[in-house]
Amino acid sequence: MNYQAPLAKTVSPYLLWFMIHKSQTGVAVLDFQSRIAQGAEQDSWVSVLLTGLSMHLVVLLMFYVLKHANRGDLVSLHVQLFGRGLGTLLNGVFLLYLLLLVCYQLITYSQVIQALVFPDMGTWRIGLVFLLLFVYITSGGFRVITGTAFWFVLIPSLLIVTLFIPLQYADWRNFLPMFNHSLPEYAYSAAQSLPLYIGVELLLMYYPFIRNNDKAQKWAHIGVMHTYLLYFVFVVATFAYYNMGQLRHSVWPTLGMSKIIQFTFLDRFDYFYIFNWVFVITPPCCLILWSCTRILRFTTRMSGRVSLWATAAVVFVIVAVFHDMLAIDRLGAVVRYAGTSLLFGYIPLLAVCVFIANRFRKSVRDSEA
Amino acid sequence: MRIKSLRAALLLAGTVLIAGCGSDSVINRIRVLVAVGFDREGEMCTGVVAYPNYIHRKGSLAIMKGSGREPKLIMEQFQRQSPRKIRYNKVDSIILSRQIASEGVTVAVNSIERDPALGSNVLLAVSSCSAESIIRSLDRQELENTPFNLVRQNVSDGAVPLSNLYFFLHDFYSEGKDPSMPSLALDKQNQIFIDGYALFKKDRLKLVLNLEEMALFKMLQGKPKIEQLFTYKGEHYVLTVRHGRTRSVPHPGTSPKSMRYDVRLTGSIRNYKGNLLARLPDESRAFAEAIESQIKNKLLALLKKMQAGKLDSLGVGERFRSVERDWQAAAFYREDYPTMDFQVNVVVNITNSGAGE
Amino acid sequence: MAASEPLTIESLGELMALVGKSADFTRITLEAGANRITLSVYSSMADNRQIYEHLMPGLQGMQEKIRDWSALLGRLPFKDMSVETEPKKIAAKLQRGFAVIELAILPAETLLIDISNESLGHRSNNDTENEFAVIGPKAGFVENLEINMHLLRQQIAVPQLIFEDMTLGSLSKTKIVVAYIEGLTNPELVQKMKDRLRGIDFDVVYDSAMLEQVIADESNTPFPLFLTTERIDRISYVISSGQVAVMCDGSPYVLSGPSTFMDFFISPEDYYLPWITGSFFRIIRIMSVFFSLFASPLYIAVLTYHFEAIPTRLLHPIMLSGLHVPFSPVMEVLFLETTIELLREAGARLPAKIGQTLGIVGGIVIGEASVQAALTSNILLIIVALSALASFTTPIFKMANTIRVLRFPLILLSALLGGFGIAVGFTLLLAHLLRLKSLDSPYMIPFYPFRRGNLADSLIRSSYQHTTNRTLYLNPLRKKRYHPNMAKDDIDHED
Repeated sequence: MNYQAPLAKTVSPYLLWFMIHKSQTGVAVLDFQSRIAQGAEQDSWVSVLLTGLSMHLVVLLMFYVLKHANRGDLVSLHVQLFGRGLGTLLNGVFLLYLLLLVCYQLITYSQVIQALVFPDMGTWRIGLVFLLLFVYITSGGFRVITGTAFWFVLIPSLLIVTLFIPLQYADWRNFLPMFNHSLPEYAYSAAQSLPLYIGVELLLMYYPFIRNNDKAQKWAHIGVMHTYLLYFVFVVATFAYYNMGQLRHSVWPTLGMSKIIQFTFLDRFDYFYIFNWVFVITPPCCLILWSCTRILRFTTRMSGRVSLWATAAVVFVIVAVFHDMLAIDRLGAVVRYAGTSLLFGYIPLLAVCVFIANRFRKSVRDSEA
Repeated sequence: MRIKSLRAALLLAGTVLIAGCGSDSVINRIRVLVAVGFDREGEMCTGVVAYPNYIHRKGSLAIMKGSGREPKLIMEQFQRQSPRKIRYNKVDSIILSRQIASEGVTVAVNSIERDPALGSNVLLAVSSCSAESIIRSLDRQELENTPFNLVRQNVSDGAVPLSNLYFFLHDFYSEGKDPSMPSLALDKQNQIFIDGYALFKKDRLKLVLNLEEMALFKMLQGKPKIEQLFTYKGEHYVLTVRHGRTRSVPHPGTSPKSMRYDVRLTGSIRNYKGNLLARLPDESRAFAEAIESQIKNKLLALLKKMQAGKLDSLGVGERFRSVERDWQAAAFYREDYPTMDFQVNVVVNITNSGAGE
Repeated sequence: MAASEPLTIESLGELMALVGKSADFTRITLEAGANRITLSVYSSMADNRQIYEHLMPGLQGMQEKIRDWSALLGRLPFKDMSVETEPKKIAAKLQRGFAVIELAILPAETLLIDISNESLGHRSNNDTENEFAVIGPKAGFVENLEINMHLLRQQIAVPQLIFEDMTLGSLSKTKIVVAYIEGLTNPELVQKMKDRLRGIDFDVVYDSAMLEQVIADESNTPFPLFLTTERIDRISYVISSGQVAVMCDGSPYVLSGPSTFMDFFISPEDYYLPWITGSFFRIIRIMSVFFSLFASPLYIAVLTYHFEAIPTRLLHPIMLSGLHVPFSPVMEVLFLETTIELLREAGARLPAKIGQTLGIVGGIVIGEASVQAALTSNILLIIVALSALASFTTPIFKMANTIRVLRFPLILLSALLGGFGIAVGFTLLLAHLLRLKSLDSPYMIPFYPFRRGNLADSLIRSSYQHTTNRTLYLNPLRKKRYHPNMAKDDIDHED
């Protein structure tokens, strides 16, 4: 049942690690700490880890679902399960979600650049630069995207070393007293940290392009683990560096931490962090654009190139139009909500559907025999 | 064909980008402010800034003054005085006059914190005289002489407690600690010096510690590296603390709640006549005990002084927060802190008393 | 293949009429009654001494006795003699300096005798001037294919070293040799290389560097996709590790592939030095690439947009040196970079000794004067000179040029968008490198796709104990190079 794309287009299974990890970590690393700390405060790292662990379950479900898709991806599975009409509708909804996701990444990062570096630079201009970059990478195909994902996991990881400097200012008593929060508070933090893991659902699109994909699940789990360990490191560093009151007043705690870093040849290391996020958001955005292209190619008659440019154009228009802070906030909320419900609502539902369909088919086959 | 279209798109993008490129601040076209002082004159706020002047003075500092209702408006006024763009991103010292500090710095803190232009290492300090005179004393001085470097040098090798914008904000937003910052003054030679340590209650200046108290304050904070004067048998000696460690232990169970500081100091005595300590081990113990009791009394006095002023600059509240499962800031400062019992244990270890006979 | 063959020759007579127009064509006829021996040769291509010392005496007096070729074949002392009838082949060999002997009694056939002078007009040796190494052999390839094959076979003395030849170029008829080791090199690679070469239709093949561009997987790239080198040790190394080399007559550069990005930063000297020293120099070389690419863009970005990133103590020297410069940093950088490019280009075009002098004089005078005239700042002068220096540490000149060119887009991006532009430029560069392939094998190996086995000899050059395997991406038929214990240089080995 397991479908795999032609061998020349596939990538090694270990790259699944980097793909999964990279598609999950985006702009959220800049500001998630203050959001999750609203619930269980200094204990919210527990929530981050727990939700991270729950991602293993999501990965399991996705692999189960994908194994039963005729062409190994979500779009074909929709059509296969729900028929042409409903399937295409669902694919459209998924496409819309992906578009919003890439817009969310772009707009949020543009806000960082505008607030901290270039106050006069319009969002549309940052968006244009990025989209041209993305189109160039994406037109290189899946292997190039995987390559950027691989490199852009390694390069920004070097920044983790520099966390050592803010940690010299750390007060580890910030974590005390441990576990003095109630269950609803942990739950609130957990709910706030769920959107951190958005992006793993892209596996539903690129699964056929992984060589020996039925045996690659190990790497996906390693990727998820890498993600929540990374978040854990950032949460721990942030909570040690900031106290809760300060965290409440920080918009981008990760960048705030980097501000204390100084070298004899470089003041203001925060620029390094800010521009490193170009590397951080590029692979997930390219992957999303690539997925959009796949969906368009599957559902319409457009060629890959046309659908890529069309997707980029739509994203550009959305990015250029959003000015209002309130609207941007709402966009973020919608994306977070949609992503969360996709991961923890729709994917389990899909698994149930696949399960029932299999049972049904099996019983039909049995009765025929 | 497809490459041509891509190239055309890139070209188009390039021209668009070039056309709209104006947010630059080329370094030799700007005036880089390095130190700012704020005073209050009635309703108005006056600001004095120092910037390195490279055109006439080969980089020694020059002064500008402006006034307005808001720090941002003062900047605008500077802009009108200057042939070059004004950029305050490299400001490393912000001096507030005592008047502003005691009237409350919340507004200033908020605008500083929101401003991404400033780094976290910026020095915040209050001035005993007017901030203007502090900044004016920098006129024609080298860039090196800003208060920032003065304080930093004393933080790493002297008796000044560690403080910068990060620590101020940290304490400012903390529930169990009050912020503090160094206090600066001018001597008769018009030279800036550190004259004490200013303790804030939330955003208001309440108390300024003198130099000796400042050293003791640093000792309680944890990493003392100071000279301490004491008497033994009627004569004055100086203990040079080489290294030391202070541990604070909160006792939430006792009534009233108590807080213990264990201070361990290792140091040497330089001006003791002859290498007496090596020859008389008994004397050395007595010596150490004299130091211990004197330091203990001073530390207790300092703690009582801060307690009486309802100031928790050492973060006693933070310590209790970390050990009590449901610590409430308001209740703690209303009920527990004023009656808290402080204990101090000092252990001094004298290693040598100099190289000569 | 011969779509653009300029002319076709139908008969021997037509050929002789055609070549007779050339001044360097000689035709000697020995007549005796009905029989007649005609010797035709390009005097410019043939060894004239051989004609008059061996060939003519052999032919003299034969014109009466001769009835067929065997009489001549027995008499003449030449290694390569053959009887040909096809005008096309005769023409080809004539061009290469063969003597054509016609007999009046056998009008359709000719005897071709190799008396070509291959060394005429060639250097006999080549000091590896362009890829110099302090340690290691100094002799390199020359313009003569025979000598090159000789040089290579001297280093790889096994019968498995195969030279397969083919002819390329509709006008030049250049002899091309594909070299590989049978039973080691993956036959797929050899086939791919031969297919690519066969697919070429080109008029004159001047140099193997030209071939490189024609057979490259992607032509819209500044990066060289195949390694071209004049060093013998480099080529014998790549052949022995399973690559395919292509030699081209008339070119002292030998091409090899599939190459990776890292190959261009490896100098044979790395292997002649102890591995610690060798690795150190290799790392220096790789770092200098980054320095060369990003130093001046960073200067522009910081001085134009992010001045607060300059430490206060550094502010002083930067301000004082750049205070009176009237241009924006990007203009300043472009001015200096162009100057350096001019110096480099002029130095390359002039005779070696003048070029050197010009480089020094030009560099010092222009640099000093432009600082004096406050057109640039001292610090920038240092940065630009250093990055120019850094770019020349790359052992392969082609790659060094690529790096020099790539700085300009990065400079523009940093001038437009500051640090953001540099990050975008880096991403573009990386994505471009990831897209590249050399003979269908990814250019960025061993970093992506990641090959742990090849890391031992990439960023660092590990000791010979750790490089016992051949580079795996080439899929060589024999994976082991040598036994690690036999290549050890420590005491443990004595068991």
